[in-house]
Parts: sequence; C-alpha cells; structure tokens
Amino acid sequence: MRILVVEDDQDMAQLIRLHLENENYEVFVTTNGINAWELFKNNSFDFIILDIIIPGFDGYSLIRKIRNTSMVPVIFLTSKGENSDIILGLGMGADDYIVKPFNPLEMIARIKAQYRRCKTKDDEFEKAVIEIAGIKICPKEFSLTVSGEEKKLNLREFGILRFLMENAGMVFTKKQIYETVWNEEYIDNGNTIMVHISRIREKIESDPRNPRNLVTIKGIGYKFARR
Amino acid sequence: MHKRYLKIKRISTVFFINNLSLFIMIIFSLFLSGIFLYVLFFINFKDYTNMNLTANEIINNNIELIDAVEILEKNGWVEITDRDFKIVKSINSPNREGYSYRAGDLMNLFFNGYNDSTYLYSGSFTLDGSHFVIVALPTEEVSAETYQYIVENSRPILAPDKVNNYESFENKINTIIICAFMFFIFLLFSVIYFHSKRTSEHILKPLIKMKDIANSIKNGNYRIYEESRRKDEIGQLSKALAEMSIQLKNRMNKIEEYAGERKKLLSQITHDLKTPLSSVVGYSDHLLVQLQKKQHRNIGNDDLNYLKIINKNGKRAICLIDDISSISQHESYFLQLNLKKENFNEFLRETIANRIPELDEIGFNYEFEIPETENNLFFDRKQISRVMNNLIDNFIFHNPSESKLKITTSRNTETFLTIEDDGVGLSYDAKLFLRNASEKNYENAEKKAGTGLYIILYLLDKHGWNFKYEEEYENGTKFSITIPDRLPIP
Repeated sequence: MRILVVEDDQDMAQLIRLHLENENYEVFVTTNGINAWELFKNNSFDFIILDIIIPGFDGYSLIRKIRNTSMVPVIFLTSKGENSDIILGLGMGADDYIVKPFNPLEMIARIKAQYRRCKTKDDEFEKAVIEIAGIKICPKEFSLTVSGEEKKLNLREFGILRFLMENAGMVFTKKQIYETVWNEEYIDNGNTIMVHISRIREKIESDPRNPRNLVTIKGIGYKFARR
Repeated sequence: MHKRYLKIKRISTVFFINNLSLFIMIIFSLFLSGIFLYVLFFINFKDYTNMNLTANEIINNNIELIDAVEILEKNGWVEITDRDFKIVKSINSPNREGYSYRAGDLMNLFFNGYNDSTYLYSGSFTLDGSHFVIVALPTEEVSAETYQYIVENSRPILAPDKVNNYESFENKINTIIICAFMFFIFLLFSVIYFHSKRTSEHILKPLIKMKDIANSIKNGNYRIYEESRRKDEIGQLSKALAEMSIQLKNRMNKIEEYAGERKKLLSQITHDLKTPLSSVVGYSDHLLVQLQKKQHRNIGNDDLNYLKIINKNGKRAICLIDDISSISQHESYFLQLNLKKENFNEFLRETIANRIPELDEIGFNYEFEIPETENNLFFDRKQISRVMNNLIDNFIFHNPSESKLKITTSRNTETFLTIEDDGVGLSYDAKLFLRNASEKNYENAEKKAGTGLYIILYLLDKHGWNFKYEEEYENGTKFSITIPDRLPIP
C-alpha cells in the first residue's frame, strides 16, 4: 500500500514513516501542501495522512482539491482537537480524524479499517497475509496455518481471529468484536463470543487453558498479543 | 423634589382614579337599573296609566261632567241611574233613558256572574249617593293587563272565568322588582369584575413581563428587555431593568468574545506545544518497543530508565496541556452536557480497553470487575471518558511499574464505581484539595493538586455524581464514585 504523509514537522513525519514502514507500507513524505498536491497529481496513492496546519495549501484546501478528483481515503492527523475542528475536517471530506499525540496502534488500526472499507475482495489488502508468532492467516484463501500446520476455521472464527490479529495489541470488548464480525447489533451475546474464542484457542494455542496469543482481559474483553 | 413627590404619588393617583371610576360606575349601574325598572313598568302597565275605563275612575257628582271618551273609543257604553236604578242618562248604551233595572238584574250583573262574557262591567255610586254609574267595556277591546287591572280594582264588576288564567298583579310587580334587582346585581358584578381586571392588569402586566425577563436572565438567556413607556414607579423599575438587561447582554457578549479569543489562543498554544511533545513521546515509545524486542542490546538499564522517564514525562506534559485546554473550556459558558442513556458497563469496558496496551507496555498489573449485565445510565460519554482517562493517567504517572490498578463497578439502588491501586498514594496537597472539595472550595486548588483532579471533580459534579476519596485506605489510593439513576439537575 502506498501512503502519502503530509506533515510539516520533520520529526513527526519521520515518526509516522517509522510506524508505517514497520507495517510494510510504502511511505512518501512531504512537508507542504503545494508539494503534496504535485505528488498527488503525478502519482497514485492508496492512502493519505494529512496535517491541517501546513505551509502552502493548508490541509482543508488540499483535501478539497483531492476530493475534486479522487475518493482516496484520507485521515487528518493533527493537534487541533476541538470538536469544531473535527466536525470541519470530516465535513471537508476526510474519512477519519486522529488527534496528536497519537497512539501508533490506533493509527495503524484506523488506516486498515478505512482501507478495508473502500476496497473490494480482490484487492491487494485481501491478499495480504498476517503472521504473528507463527500464526498465519491469509484472508483471500481463508486459511490458517499454525507453525506450518493447516487448521480449519469456520467463517465467524476466521472473522474474529482476523480482526484481532489485524489489530494485535489492542483490547476489544465482546460487543465490539460481535458488532464488527457479525455486523449486527449486540444483544447480550457474551456466551457466543466466549464459545468462538474457545474454539479458536483450541486451534492456535499450544496450551488453550493458558493462552499466550489470544488473551482474555478479565472484565474487559480479548486481545491478540503483539510480539 | 416636587416632581419626585408627584412621581411617587403616581400609582396612588391611579388607584384613586380607578376607585372613583368604580364609584361612578356603580352609580351609573343604579341609574341604569332604575331606567330598566321604569321601562318594565311602562311596558307592563302603559294601558292603565291615566286610565278612565271603570266606573270608579269616571265617577263625578255632577253627572253631566262624566268623561266617557275613552270608554266610547273602546266601543263601550255608560249608563247613569238614579237611586232606584232607573236610567237617567245613557251614553252609547243599548238601554234607553227611563229604563229601570230590577235589583236582581244588577245582582246578576255584578255579583252572581254573567253568562255573557262579551262585556266587562263595573259600577259605582256617586259620592253623594244620588246616582249609580254602570260602565261596560267589550272584552275584545281590552288588553289582558287592563282586564286584570279592572278585575282587581273595580267593584262591583263582572269577572268572567278567564280572569283566573292571569297571574296576580302583585306577583307581576314583585317579578318586575326582582328582575330589576337581578339586573342591578349583574351590572354591579360586571363593573367590579372589569374594574378589578383593569386595575390588576395595570400593575401585574408589566410585573409579569419583568418577572419573565428576570427568569430568562437567570437561565442564562440574556435578552434585551424593552422598557415600558409608563412614568410611574413601575415604569422606573422597567427602565432600570431594561438598562440592566442591556448591560448584562453587553457584558456577556464581551465575556463570550474574550472566551472565544482565549480559546483560540489556547488552541494555538496547545497545537504548538503538542507537536514537539508528540515527537518526544512517539520516538521514545518506538525506542521502548524496540528495546523490549531486544533489538538494541548496547543500551544499559540506566539508559532504559532514562528513556522511560522521558516517555512518561512527555505523556504527562501532553495530559497537562489537554487538562489546561479542558479547564479553559469548562470555565467558559459553553460546556453543556450531552446526556444520553447508555450501558455504563460497556462504556467502562471500551474506555479501559483503550488504555490496556499502555498499561501493558509500562508493566502495570490490573484487575477489572465489570458485570456483563446492562446498566443503562444517563451520562455524557465524552466527559466521563475524560474523567476515567484522568484517573488512569493519575495512576500511570504517580506509581511505579508493577503497581496494580483495580476498577470495579456494582449496582444496588445506585451504581458504585471504585478505582483503587496499591501504589504510592496521594500527595499531601492532593489530599488537602479533596478534603476541601466536599465544600466545593476549588479556588486555586488545581495549582496544588493538579489540573486532572480538578477536572474530575468538576465533571462529576456537573453530572450530579458523588466522588469520594477513601482516606482510610492505606495501601495506595481508592476513589469511590456513586452514580444515581436520575438525570443530572442542570
């Protein structure tokens, strides 16, 4: 995935680049609006991360220009955290809004979520393989291998595992998991999630009673541990 | 001085004029009632005012001067007899002069009834007793009232049966008087009602308007009051209120203007401070993650601790900036709670879930007891999220790694939330601040206790939730929050 980062603060731009490159994204950084517009016109990007206060065109002007020609996903990443700023930013056509200082995990999760929403099943994103601690899932092939051994998962189990692995390190409540995977309103389905999590553990954990990957945070929910 | 005296007298003058007008109106009502009574009498008794239709009324000692004009107009007749009831004068009568009545005829005529109801008879002796006058009127020529009058007042007369169909004359007079009296009472009540209404409106109308304006100002709606044109005390009060409302509105406009400018300035400062701090925190976060992965083996433990200090204080500085920005907003007049009924337990889980990676990263322990059951409460998600994050921030900044954070919630008739840790406990200043907080004495407290606690108390107070610091708790810090089911009182 090719990401354009428009951030006037060099240090911050480098930090964003660092986190994105850790996720194996191709990152292009520019520090002003005019260069960003030129880069956008002459290249193809899958995602844009945009600061609001930048030299040349400001973030609002730039997104207005971009939206005249493209529906590429855009996230505002800025220190301006007032409600009015957020409303204005989203109103201008941004797909999401992150206020500095940002949590890198949250930023990556939001990028993935936005990207997933605007891509079809055959896209590059669907081809991407996620591998953490020897557990590998391939969304396109709908396959799971644990230490090289292929395992079978049903549709819901695969959905839960994929969601948690894509957002490894972040904790989600049962409601959040249910509403993301089932795409339905959550009405006290705690047991449903518990049963599915238990089945997933049987397939990915060496000791399902003491899981090291798919971890329960008691009273809160579940997370897939980062390595 | 004289002018002032006159002004002070204004309302009493109005009262005097109003009461005088009431008196005049009562007199006028009496006059109207009198006219009404007269009209009723005139309508009912116009036939026999100056009536000369009976023997009694036309009687005269000089029989030549008897006035029979009205009787003749009604096609009646008159006979004058001597003592022996021999007709000496006949006026339009079917009996000629010289005709003699027998005593029995007259008895039949006046006392025993007379089968012929064509005529109404009356008779009377002259004062000297020398003559007897007989008057007959055709009944079809006489109105019902006249008929009644004659029946009641003329004796001897013939009274045909239909007399009984009419109410008595006295009853009619009584009815008329009662009607007139009722009319007077009605007029009196109407006069008093309209007088009271006018008098009370004169005073109450501007007062009610002023009360509405005062209530409106009390509720924060600083609209301008249009002063009354009256010159009395109420007019002066209205003028003062109008001036006050203008001044208040101008001041509020200025306060909002200053608040807006301050907000803009703070927003700019926040932006300028947060950008470099974000780099500090971001890079130190990255380095810490890399060090945890053992990718930089050449960094010693001391260096690692220095890095943790940089990271921790960078985050603290960002939180302080956020707190200052929040205080600025909360102290302005803009903070309105956006209350929605939500499952508080799920909200807690989601808020805490966002902080767990950070707690894990630093190496804190935690325990959460949040029931799976729904607990729907009214609260402002954003503001209570800020409270929870401030409490967790306080735990992170003030306690060493491996400290344990415990958050529990339960429900009885109210919801109870406790946040406790086994860390270093609160500073002396923070304890002092919380002790004073129960008396709402927040003045300058945030300087000593930190902005975080100040914001927590402010937002919980705004929600009507009770916050308590458990002083007896010795193994760290424990806060209890009691949440009633009712909506916060604005």
